[in-house]
Amino acid sequence: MSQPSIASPNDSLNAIDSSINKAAFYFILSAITWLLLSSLFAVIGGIKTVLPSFLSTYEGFTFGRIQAMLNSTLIMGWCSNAIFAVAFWIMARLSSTPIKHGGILLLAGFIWNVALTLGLLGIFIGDLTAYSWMEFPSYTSGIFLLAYTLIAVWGIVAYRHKQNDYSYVSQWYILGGLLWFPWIFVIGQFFINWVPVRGALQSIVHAWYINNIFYLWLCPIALGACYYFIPKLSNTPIRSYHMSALAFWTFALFASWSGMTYLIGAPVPVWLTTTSIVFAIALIIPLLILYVNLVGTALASASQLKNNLALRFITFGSIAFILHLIVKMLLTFSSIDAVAHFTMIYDAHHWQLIYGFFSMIFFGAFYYLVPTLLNHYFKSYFLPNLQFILSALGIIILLAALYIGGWQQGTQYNTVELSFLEITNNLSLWMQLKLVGLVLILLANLLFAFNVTGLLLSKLLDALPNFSNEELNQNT
Amino acid sequence: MTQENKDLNDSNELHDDAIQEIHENLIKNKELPKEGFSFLPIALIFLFAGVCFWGGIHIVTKGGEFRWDGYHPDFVAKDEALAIPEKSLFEIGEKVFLAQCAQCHQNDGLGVAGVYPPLVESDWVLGHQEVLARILINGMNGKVIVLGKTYNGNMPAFGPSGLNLKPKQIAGVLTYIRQEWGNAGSEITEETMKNYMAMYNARTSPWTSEELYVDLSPEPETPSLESDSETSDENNILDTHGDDHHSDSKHSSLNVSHKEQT
Repeated sequence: MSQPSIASPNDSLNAIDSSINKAAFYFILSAITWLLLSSLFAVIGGIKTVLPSFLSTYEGFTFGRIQAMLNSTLIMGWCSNAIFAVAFWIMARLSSTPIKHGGILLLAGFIWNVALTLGLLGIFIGDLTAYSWMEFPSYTSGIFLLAYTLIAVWGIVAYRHKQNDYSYVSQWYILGGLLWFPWIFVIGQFFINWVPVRGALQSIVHAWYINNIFYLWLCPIALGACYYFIPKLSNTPIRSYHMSALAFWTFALFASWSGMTYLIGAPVPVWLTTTSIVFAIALIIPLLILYVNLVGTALASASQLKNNLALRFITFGSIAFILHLIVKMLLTFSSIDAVAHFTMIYDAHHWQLIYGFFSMIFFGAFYYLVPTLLNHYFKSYFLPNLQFILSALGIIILLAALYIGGWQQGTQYNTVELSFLEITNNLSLWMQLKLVGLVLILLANLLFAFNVTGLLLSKLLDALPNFSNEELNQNT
Repeated sequence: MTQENKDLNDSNELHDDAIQEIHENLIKNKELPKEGFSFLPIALIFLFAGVCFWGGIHIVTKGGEFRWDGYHPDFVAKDEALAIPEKSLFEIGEKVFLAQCAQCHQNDGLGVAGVYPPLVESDWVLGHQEVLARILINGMNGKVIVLGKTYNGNMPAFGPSGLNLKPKQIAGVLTYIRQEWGNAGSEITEETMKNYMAMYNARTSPWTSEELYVDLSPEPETPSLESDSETSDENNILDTHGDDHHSDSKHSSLNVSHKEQT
């Protein structure tokens, strides 16, 4: 292994790690909290689709509000907090620069979570907006924006002051994501909540917002993490690395244009959807490169894959992402869209991105990051391995239920003889299977929380007896 | 520490600086001649070109020509599609009639006995266009005999001395009453109406039924009648019953124009 030329690499690494330590743990713990809450909402929603009378007497627990709270906790809670924890650490590591002003980061993170809490309470009492994935009430969006500005600036500053001449592909993705998010967020909030545009234009802005929150906020950061962890953990350079720049730019350009595929058949000028279809199909270019770069590199080192839990999570996530993009392309075919539109297939597609791809990548990242920051390692990998199995099984069952059930739903919608009630009744098997998947995911997330907090606690407990022993020695 | 922990810790993973160095070198050295042949870059170039080619064609053929009103992938722009469809005189007239005339002459055009004369089958309505135009522009006072019954009411003016309707609106309402309720009169064009208004706008007093038939100019012919008469002239050469045929064709052409407008 080639040693870096810096005099004492471990010291500087420790300096970088400790610069972000407190903030990172704050974000890690709040991300885990939101993750648990979101999977709880998901299970409640899942139970309600099987047993509609469940909790139906409470206004705040109606299905629409549960779904809104689920979406908000996922995007603004789990995903964003996880991004703040992992992306900043990767950025600092690759820039060989400590993150400055960790205190402000901590404060801003606190403000962010206050905004989300306020938003969830707002949704609970009925202040939600009518736009999926941006249901949190408009009065919280300003607080989110303030907190985000205070957070993101330190990631960008770290890149600006990087100590080496290199700029690695992970840094581009993370920098891109950090810069794209505020633009997407402000435009979405401005044209839908603050100064609402009129008529069909609202659904255009909304489709643009959802698409870009997914593909220009969650995806670039998760891809940046993949590009960092896969070569690191598999001890292999990225295959065909010189093409990663092409993948970065084509992905940013094509994915951001492909949002109007949500509106195929909607009463909007058809050039919008046609252009989006073309760009969605053009995603084949970054898809192939990402496949070779990420999945190709990860699968090449089979022994590492077998031994290394974090790498296994990240490989699973990368494959889920490749499949997600393939499904996205398939959904643009008009014959497929005629069946899939208005069905659970779009639910499945979002779950695949958020849990199959993003969450799996970040589980892996956390399993690497937390022991490294603590300098304290798992004694047994039984429980983390169990979590991988539960998570993988849960998401596979969930996706199978939603994709197959959604296809059945769509074909039956197109059958004139069947009434809506019959079609809904025919879905009950898939709804039960979906609930099984969601319960498995809840269990996996509980196990994940247990593993990470357990490691944290055992580190604290390890430190404690040493201290008391010394004290005892001194006393005697 | 288990084997796994060691992997995570140090021995078997790339250092951060190594990640950057190795990959930087990969970029710098990619030009170096290599043994074998890398298939992917060439294939990607072809694929990229193919996607651009297909995408361009797809956007042009299925893009609704980038028009705001193209809502279907198979949209084909027509030039007249942009223009707001023009209402026929009959439709304009119907609207004006229901707003202005129907209070007295009633929706069914039958009027009110003794006061407001009927418009259905009335000679006044179906007769000379100038008579109708005079009544509308300046109004009418005094007794009038319609279909054998006497009426005595006041018809207000709708020209500049009265409600000041536009020539097109008056032409419309006249066309409407001449072609609704089974009436089969000719259309009164906007052009004709403009001519009449130029003649009578200056007059301020309403007409009486005696004055109305004095000094009439020849009745203008509507375009459809002209074209009809041309064809009937041709037919005259072949047809010995020219006159009958003429009246037949006139009648049928009116029916056709009525159907089109309703």
